[in-house]
Amino acid sequence: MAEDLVSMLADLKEEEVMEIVQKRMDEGQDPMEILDNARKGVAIVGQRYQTGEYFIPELVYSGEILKAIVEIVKPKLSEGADVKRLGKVIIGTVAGDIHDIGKDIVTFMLDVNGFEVYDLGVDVPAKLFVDTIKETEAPVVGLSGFLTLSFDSMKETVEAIKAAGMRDKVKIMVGGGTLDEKVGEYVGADGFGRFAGDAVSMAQKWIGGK
Amino acid sequence: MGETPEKLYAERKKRIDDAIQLKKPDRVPLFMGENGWCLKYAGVSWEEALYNPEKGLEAHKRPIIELNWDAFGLPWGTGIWFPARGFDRLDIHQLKWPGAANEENRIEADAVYQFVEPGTRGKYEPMPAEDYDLFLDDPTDYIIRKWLPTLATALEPLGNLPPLHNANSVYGLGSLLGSQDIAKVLKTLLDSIEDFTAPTALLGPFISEMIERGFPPMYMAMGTSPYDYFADTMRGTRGCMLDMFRRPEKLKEAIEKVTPWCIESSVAGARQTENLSKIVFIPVHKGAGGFMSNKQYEEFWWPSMRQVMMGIIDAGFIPYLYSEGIYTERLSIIKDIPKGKAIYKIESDIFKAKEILGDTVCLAGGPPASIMNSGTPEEVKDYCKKLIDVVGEGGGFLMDPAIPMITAKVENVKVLSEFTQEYGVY
Repeated sequence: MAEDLVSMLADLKEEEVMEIVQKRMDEGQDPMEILDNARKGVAIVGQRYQTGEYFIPELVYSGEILKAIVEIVKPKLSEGADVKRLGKVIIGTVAGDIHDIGKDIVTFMLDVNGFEVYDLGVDVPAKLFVDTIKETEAPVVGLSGFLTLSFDSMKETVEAIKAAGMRDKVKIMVGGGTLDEKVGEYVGADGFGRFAGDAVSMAQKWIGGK
Repeated sequence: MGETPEKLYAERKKRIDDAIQLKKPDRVPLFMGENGWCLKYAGVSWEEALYNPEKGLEAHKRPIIELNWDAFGLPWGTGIWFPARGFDRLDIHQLKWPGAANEENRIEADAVYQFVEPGTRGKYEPMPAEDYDLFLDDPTDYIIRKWLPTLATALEPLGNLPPLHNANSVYGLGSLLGSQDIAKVLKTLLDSIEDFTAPTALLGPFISEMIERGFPPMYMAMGTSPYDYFADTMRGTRGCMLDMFRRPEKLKEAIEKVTPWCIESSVAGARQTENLSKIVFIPVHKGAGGFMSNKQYEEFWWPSMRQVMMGIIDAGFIPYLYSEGIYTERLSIIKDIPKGKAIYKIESDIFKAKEILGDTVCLAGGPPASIMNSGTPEEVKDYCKKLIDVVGEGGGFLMDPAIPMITAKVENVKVLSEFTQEYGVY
């Protein structure tokens, strides 16, 4: 039944998935294990996205299904039970830009690949990135932007991190919209990613986990 | 030089018409549709341009005149396109813009206005999935009584109105007009009339002036994609994505319902401004690469869009499809359109587009944002040369850099303009 849940979720069979979850809960099975199976299913969705079999709608849908599963199992979960995380990544859409679709996809991909993601949202001032680095000691920061005005916002964010004396403590990756390698260099990032999967590869390279 | 404005107008118009019909014009036409860059060029902030439409309009004109572009468009990036004072008065929730009266709506003074996804801000919630039937049953009633109240604080009282189909007699009408709610809404709208009409009144003189100066209008009418009708606002990007799985038939039914309206409004707009331009500009968003698979695109997005474009073409007008984002994987699909009847503006791989679509539609585009924003004038020149050589080969190409141009370096746009006029001669 564990395999069923993993594969059904990977195939986005929502009805079947919810039936299995409900049945396993009714049978008194370990909610942590159910959640773990569900996460595995979503991780397969992420893999299929990376190989081009799935697209953003499938990611969004699997996220919704996972949310519904969490709703069911959460009341039975014991406190503090959570999966082991590989490392911390801070992510946000830079100041002046309120676009979030790309950022959310990267957050999703990092999360299903085992990273602990601090998503700061959109229109994030440079200071909040700096403060969050201080607070979490995350070694990787992802700056997202859709509009071209984000190029200079990213540059300013990188400079603010430098001015706070933390530039050598973090690796910075950028991506989104009309960005390319050239813009990555312009803003002073350590890496640029065109696809959400690139963020995972970079985080794995910098933090480990592959 | 020394040509009369009438002659310049005729030359420019023919240049554009030839390119659309896939003929070789005298040279590559040069135009900047989303001319928000004018603000940077003129040193006017977005906030000033939205709140002071006269000032925005002056900025808008300058590069067209000073850099000799071949046409002008609707004055995007000014208070004419975006009546910020009116939006403040109504307290619109769908957008964020510089200088907004409500702090929740405000972004920094020199940022372009941006749309908000429903569900991410206050009362601006997506149409609930269960409401598809209500919408399908009586869409206009739904829009007025259910949807508009979520769009703006001033429109909230519309949510208290009785169903509008009861206003068939004096009694129904009486109870409608006697309601305090409608009085409240009408009063705010009345108070805001100037906020909306004053900027619009600037449009006529602007058009006349530009024509007198020898510049033809590129487009004066707009269109939309039926899928985006729901995904850009009502159900939101995520909502429509989920609907493709959870209620595909309802989504399709709703798209079918609005498709004739999308045709109707485009054609009506085009007819109204027919003596100025035959082009209908259609910026599209949620069918971009990555946003769905080709299979989903062919099932949910493209058929209705094609119907809209065919409706525009059959009425004697020209759709100008602006595919924002990556469109490379869609090129073969969107080739299914009559030859020489449409313009496709491509932000992604325009060279690939030339290979696939070059014999079918006029292509529009420019250098990528990275070169325009962070590159050197030499790089701009090299890229424009490649564009003119490859995409411009044989005609059917319009140099029209897209939205990512708005923050481009001033010298880079100058070089792009000069080089296109010099090197773009056939």
